[in-house]
Amino acid sequence: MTGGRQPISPDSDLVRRLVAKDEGAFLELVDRYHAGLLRFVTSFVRSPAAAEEVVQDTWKAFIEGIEHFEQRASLKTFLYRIAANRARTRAVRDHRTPTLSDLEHEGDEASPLIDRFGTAGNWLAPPTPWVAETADAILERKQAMEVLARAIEQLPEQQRAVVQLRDVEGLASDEVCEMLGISEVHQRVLLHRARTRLRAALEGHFSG
Amino acid sequence: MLSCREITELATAYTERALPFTERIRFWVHLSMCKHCRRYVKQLRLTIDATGQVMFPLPKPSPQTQAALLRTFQNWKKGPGKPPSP
Repeated sequence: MTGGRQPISPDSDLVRRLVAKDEGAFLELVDRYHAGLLRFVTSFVRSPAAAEEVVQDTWKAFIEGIEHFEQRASLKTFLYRIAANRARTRAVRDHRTPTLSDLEHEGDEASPLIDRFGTAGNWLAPPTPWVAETADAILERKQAMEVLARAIEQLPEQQRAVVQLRDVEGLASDEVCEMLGISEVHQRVLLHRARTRLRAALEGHFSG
Repeated sequence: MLSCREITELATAYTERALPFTERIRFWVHLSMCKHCRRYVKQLRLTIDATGQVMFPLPKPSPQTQAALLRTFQNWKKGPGKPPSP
């Protein structure tokens, strides 16, 4: 390697060290993924204590299964898959819905765009231009990113789970469907509703 | 001809490449003629990109959690077998 100092070990190095039972590697992975897993799991189990237990179980299952991890999927996928299984099992135990399969929970929620079209479906109030016209320009605006983070936290839990896995963690849609036990179409509906809301949140910020 | 409202409804299927071919063509045709919908789709993509960069507060696991995880790790490291001596 000629790339010089690399401050963050890639997951694959950490896995190799973990298989060799290196405690530092384990703690580094915990630092890297614990908070995200916790956020994800709260889409299934409501109490923070239960969520914490589920994530601890996830880590236990993770190290116990690490030797079977074949790196065909990413480490992140492997971890989130374990977490999703545990969280769904726990949800059943707590008499909550184990899958996100129940769209009725959210009903026909009003679209943020509801007032924006005329009777022919044409724009009455078209989208206004944003001061930040590139992703980088948005990133530089701390307030806009805070608005976005808050909007994600405020999504209904099913939508939040899908957005976290797809758009925050960057997992593929088929992986996400499998983890959440939902169909492609259902996943897309949730993603669509979520992204529509998030765009509206940014629009509100930029035009407000 | 798709309406603007329909464009916004199909936008995720479009960005997810889940539209059947003919629908995709109709979507393109509309976009080529409608700057408002072009802007809408662009903003939707920007939102997706920005979402991937959101930094959530990263609370470290609590000391209790850390301790519990370390115990789990050390038990695993010791490996199975050897029951605790009486």
